[in-house]
Amino acid sequence: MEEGKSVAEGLLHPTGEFSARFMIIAMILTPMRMLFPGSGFWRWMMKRRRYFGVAAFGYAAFHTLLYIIDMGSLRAMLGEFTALGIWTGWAAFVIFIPLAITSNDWSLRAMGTAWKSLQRWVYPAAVFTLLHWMFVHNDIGPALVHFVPLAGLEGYRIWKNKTRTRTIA
Amino acid sequence: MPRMTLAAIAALFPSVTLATGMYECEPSNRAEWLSKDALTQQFEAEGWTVRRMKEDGGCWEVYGTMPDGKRVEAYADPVTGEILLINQRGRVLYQKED
Repeated sequence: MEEGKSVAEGLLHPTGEFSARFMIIAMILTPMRMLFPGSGFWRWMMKRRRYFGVAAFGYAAFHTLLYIIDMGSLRAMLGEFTALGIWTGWAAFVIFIPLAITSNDWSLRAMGTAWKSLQRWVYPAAVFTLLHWMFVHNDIGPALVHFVPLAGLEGYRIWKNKTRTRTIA
Repeated sequence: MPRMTLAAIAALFPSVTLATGMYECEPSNRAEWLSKDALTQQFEAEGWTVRRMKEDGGCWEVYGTMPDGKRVEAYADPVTGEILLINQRGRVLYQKED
């Protein structure tokens, strides 16, 4: 085994994991703010949400680069592109690109309400990330340890919004 | 915690029990297992590259590259070394007929 290849392979998993973690942090901030409306910590985090999103993209980009190095050829990469554990990873990364590019004050101002609609693409990206993680490892335990809290908090957020609408109506 | 959240979490958990592995091998006598080196040699003789292996579901789970360059995980009978299942990143390429 070539030395360079084993280094890339060794870093492949941790970089992907950190990307998913930063994405999850960015995503739980709204439900956490709803759970702890008075908390200064979650308000402080909320103000910095874009940094977490950009960090998720940065690790995803490094993760993708390591994957390319590890595979070593376009032919090998195309050969497994349609496997469920692979195309889902590419899909999540492709969605991350416009989200990261627009994570700056200028884009936020220039895009107006479209900015939020665009950033909501993080939800399908999260689903693709979960599938990618589960199927690339054939092991759903570690992926679920990360995604069950997120799903729980998103469920809480949906439930909370529903009951709020009902109260108003 | 809201009931719906708990229900959503509970709904996700039955699947966790399936996470132990892709494949279960027939129970076998530990003393008869092929060593990692022996199984690696057997795979290499057929044109594979073996990166590493671990035990899973009573089988040897081999991480390697097939002769045609596909990066896969193969489940092998730990005693005979026969390939029982080949999985490429979540896609089953081969499964031995029972």
